[in-house]
Amino acid sequence: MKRKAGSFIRVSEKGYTYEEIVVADDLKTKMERPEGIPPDAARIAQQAVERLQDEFVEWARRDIARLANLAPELASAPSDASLEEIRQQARIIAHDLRGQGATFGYPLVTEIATCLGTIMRLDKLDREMQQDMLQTLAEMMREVIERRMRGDGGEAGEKLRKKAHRMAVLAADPARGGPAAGIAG
Amino acid sequence: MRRLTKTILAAFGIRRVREASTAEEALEQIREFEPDIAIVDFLMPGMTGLDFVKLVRGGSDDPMLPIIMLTASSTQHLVTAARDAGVTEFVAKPVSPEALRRRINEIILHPRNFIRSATFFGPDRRRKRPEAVEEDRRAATPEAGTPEAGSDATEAQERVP
Repeated sequence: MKRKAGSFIRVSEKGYTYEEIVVADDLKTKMERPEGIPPDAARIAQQAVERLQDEFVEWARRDIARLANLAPELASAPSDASLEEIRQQARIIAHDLRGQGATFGYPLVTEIATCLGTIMRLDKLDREMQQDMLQTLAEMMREVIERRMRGDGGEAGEKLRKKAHRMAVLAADPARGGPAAGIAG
Repeated sequence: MRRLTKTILAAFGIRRVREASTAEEALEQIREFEPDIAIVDFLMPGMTGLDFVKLVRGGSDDPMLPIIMLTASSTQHLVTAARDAGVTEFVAKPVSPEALRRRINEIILHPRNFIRSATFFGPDRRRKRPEAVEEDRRAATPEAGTPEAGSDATEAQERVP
């Protein structure tokens, strides 16, 4: 088996027998330095990531536009299968925005996208409510990006953050006030 | 996310990087490109990252491939599920170059042994003294060189302390 240097048969304290496979450590030989990737490389990488920030704005715009386009498709999906496919697409885009937002200095995008991901996992949620929330959250992220609301975004950012969280709570339990009450806030 | 990861890896001096946008593509890349390390996202089109890890461990050409999972969630439930699936290391999002550097170095400098039992196949995630791992490696590697394919270099009946 690839990477295997050898193995032992062992017995656990509870008496279970298992094989412990020793992995060859030949990756070390591929490294220029014996200590692996040096700490300095992380600093250089951080600078490279910072240079990507402007590009992130463009990626985010594109992703947010794709999310907004999915909203009407949610309402008109002809079958449960296609509805789930649209939700899955929205979840993947939201997941990507969530993962990258904070890395590029936009934690608000991460927070709003997290709420969107939660809402898109609720397969029992009323379709129109889900569509409405998708559209609203996409619009909120667009606002964050267009207004370059880095960091916590100040007072305006706090409003958006609270609104997004309130929507996620309401989506999980619509009996707690309904979408209109939540989104309007 | 792939672009970000690739940028970080390039800054680390890692140039031979292949990307895959689906699990199927990734399995194809494992076959053809024979990577040293795979970095996967928890959520990927068509299946979860955990299902992908299970596929690699269960039926790929390289079942002991080190896999780093990028995840925005680090709940106990996810950590347990990832460990059971056979994830080697985690990096929490937002991904920082330093966190990724540490995990890659861990894989390079202190590769985890693998465990195969009736119900599990994956990296040994128990905390072990590095010296103990080194002792195992010395004991398991025959002086003459690489053990023959399919044979165990050393077999010992031991009681785990």
